[in-house]
Amino acid sequence: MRNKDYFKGKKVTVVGLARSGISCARLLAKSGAVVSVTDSQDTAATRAARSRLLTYGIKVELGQHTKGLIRGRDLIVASPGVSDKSLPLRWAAGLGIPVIGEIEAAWILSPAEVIAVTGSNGKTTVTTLIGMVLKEAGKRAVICGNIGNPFSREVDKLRNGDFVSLEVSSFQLETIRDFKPRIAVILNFSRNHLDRYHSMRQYLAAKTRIFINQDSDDFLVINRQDPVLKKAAGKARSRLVSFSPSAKFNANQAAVMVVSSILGIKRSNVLRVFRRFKGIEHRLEEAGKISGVRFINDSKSTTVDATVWALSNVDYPCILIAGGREKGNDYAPVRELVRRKVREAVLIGEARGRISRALGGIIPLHEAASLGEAVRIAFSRAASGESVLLSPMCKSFDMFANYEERGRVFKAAVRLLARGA
Amino acid sequence: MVRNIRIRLFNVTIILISIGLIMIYSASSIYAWERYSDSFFFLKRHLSFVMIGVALAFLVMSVDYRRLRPYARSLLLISLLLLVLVLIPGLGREISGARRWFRFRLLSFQPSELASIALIIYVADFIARRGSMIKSFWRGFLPPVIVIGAVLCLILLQPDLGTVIALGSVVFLMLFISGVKVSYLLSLVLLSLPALYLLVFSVPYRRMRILAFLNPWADPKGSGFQIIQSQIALGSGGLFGTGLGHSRQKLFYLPAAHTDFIFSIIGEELGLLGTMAVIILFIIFIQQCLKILKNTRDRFGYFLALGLTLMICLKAIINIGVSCGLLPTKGLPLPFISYGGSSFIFDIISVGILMNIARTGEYP
Repeated sequence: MRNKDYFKGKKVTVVGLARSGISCARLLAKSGAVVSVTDSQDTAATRAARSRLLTYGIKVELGQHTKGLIRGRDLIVASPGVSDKSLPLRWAAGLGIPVIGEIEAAWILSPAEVIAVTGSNGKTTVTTLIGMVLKEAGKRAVICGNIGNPFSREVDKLRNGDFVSLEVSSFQLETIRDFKPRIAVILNFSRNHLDRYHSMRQYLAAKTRIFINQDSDDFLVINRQDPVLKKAAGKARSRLVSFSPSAKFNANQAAVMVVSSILGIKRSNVLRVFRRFKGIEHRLEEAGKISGVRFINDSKSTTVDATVWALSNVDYPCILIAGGREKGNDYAPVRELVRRKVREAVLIGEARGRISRALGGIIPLHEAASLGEAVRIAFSRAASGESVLLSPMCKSFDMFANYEERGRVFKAAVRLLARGA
Repeated sequence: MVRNIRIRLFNVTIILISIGLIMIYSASSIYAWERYSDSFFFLKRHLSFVMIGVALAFLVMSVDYRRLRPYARSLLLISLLLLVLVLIPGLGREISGARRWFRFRLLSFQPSELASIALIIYVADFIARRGSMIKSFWRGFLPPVIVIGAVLCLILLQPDLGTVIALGSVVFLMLFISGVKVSYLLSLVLLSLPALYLLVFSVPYRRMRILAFLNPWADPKGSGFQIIQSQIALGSGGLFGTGLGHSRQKLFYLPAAHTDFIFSIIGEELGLLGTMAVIILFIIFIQQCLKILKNTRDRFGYFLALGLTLMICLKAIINIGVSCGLLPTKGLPLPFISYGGSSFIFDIISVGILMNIARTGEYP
C-alpha cells in the first residue's frame, strides 16, 4: 500500500539506531515526518550514525531513553530486536501511542508487490534466489529485509509494478499491522529463538502473522512436509500452495520454483539462476581448497537447526568447527548427523563445555582458543577429499561483533593457511 | 493528531445535523400542521431517525472496519435481493411513479441506500484484493463492472436516475484512482453515453426537467415551477435572510421544502450567510475526510473512505446545485440536513465508518 502522505507532519520516534533504524529514520524524515531517534547504546558506531542523521534534521538521543521523546508522539517505530518490554515501548503502551516496526513503516510507503519470506532456516537463500529469478525474467526487483539491506533503504527507489523479495524475521512480524505481502512464504519451522519466546506456540503465532492481512487473491506458500505449518495455514484466507523437496531440488529450490510459477516466470529462467547461484556469503560458502581439503564457511548458522541443515547438505565427511555464545541450546538433534557425517570436531568460545558434553563419546573432540587456531587444528586433522566446516550452532558475540565478522575471520585464516601450505 | 481529525469530524457532523433539525422544523411545521394537525410531526420523526442513526453509527464505530470485508459479498447480495423485491408491486411502495421504498408502519426504507454502501464496500474490497492485477481487463476491470452494472440497472428500474448517476460516478472514480486502465474506463463512458441520452430524452418527465433546467420560465407553472420557486427563495433571502421562521416559500409554494429543497429555505431565512456557512461546514467535513484518507495504511481502508467521502460530497454538490438551478432537478437529499429517513441514516452510518477508519493504526 503506497500512502506517501501517511508520515507527513507526524511526530515519530524511532527506537534503536542499528542498520535498519538509521535507514528508517532517514526515510521517515524524507517523507515529511518530524523524526527523533533514541538508542540506549552510546558507542562509536551510534555516534557516527548520529552525526549522519543530524544532516537530515533528525534529533538523536544516545546512551539513555527519556520519556520526553515518547510523550506527544503520533507514532513509535521499533527497530527489529527491540523488545516490547523495553522502557520506550512500555512508555508508549502506557501513553496509548501506536508502535509499528520498520517493515510496516516501509510497507506504508512502498508501491511494490512484496514477496515475504520467513522460516527458521534458508530465508536468506530463498529471498536472494527469488530476487535473482525475478531479475532474470526481466522484472525490476530488489532483495532486502533482514538480510543486511533494510526494506526502508530501498523504498525510495521503488516504482509501481516493481517487486520486493523481502526476508522477514519473526521479530519483525510481531510489529506488523497492515503489512500484506502478495506472496507469503513460510519455509520451515523449528525450535530456535527460544530465548525470546516463552513457548513454541508463541513463536508459531509470530511466524503466522505473515499472512494475517492476506486476501483470497494472495498466496501462502508452505512446506508440505511440515505438519505444524500445515495446521497453522488453515487459518489463512489466501490461496495455499505447498512445495516439497525432491531428488532434483532441495527444499529451498522447491520453494523458489513454486513462487516463480505463481509469478508466471518460465522454468528455464529459474534453472538458469540455480546454475549460476553460488550461494550466499557465510551460508555454506566455499572458502577455498588446500591440498584436497575444502573449507566451508557457514558462520551464519547461529542455531542448532541451521547446523543440522548445513550438515545434511554437505556431501563429504568433515571436520566441524563449532561453538560461540550459548542460549540454552539443545544439541540432541545434531547428534545423529554428527555421527554420520563428522569425523572430528574443534570447539571454540563459551559453548565449548556444553557442546563437548553433548557430543562426547561420538567423535574425537579438540578445543581451540581462537578461530585461527581452530582452522589450523582442523586442517591438520583433515584428509584429502574431506572438508572443514565452520558451522558454529551459536551466536558470535563472545568473540566477534557479528557472524559476518566471524565468517570473514574464518576466510582470512584459510587464506593465511593457503599461503603457508 | 489523528484523534483531532475524529473530534473535528464529529463536531462538524453534529453541527450539520443540528442545523438540519432547526431547518426541518422551520420548513415543515406549517405543512405538518395543515396535513397532520401536529406542527412537530416531521421534527419528531426526524429526531427518531437521528437517534437510530447515531446509535447505528456508534455501533459501526466500535467494530474494526476491516471486519466488514468478509461480509462485503453477502451484503451486496442482500442489497441486490432487496433491489429486486422493491420492484415487485405490493412489496415495494410506489410514490409518484417510482418504486423505491419499503414501508413499515412508521419507517420507510430505501434499499438503494443500503445498496450504495454495500457497493462501495464491495468495490473497496475488490480493489484491495486485486492489488496490481487491477490493470488487467479480464480480472481487474470486467468483474466489478458487471457487478456495478447489475446494481445500477436495478436502481434504474425503480427508476432513480439521480442515485444511479451519483453512485456510478463514485465507483467510477474509485476504479480510476485504483489504477484501472483509463482507456477501459473512457470506453465505458463513451459506450454509456447513448444509453444515458436515451434514458434522459425518451422519458418525458426527464426531458421536461432538462428543458426546465435550461429555461425554467418556458413553463413557469409546470416543469419550471420548482426551480423558479427555489430561486425565488434563495433570492428573497438576500445577504442576511428574512429571519429564522420567516420563509414565505415554505408556505406551500416550494414543494419538498424540508427534504430535497431545504437548502433554498436556509437561503431564504438565513441568507447568503447561512448558505455559505453550510457550504463551509461541508468543506471542513470533506477536508477532515481527506485527512482520514491520507492516514490510512491499507488499500481497503483507503478506498472505503474514498468511496464514502465521494458519495457524501457528491450528494451535497448535486443537492446544492439543484437548489441553485445549476443542475437539472434530481431528487437527492442534502446529507445530514434534509429530512429523509433511510438516506439520513446511511449518511450517519458512513460517518461512523469514516471515524472508524480514522482509527487505523490505533488497533492492536
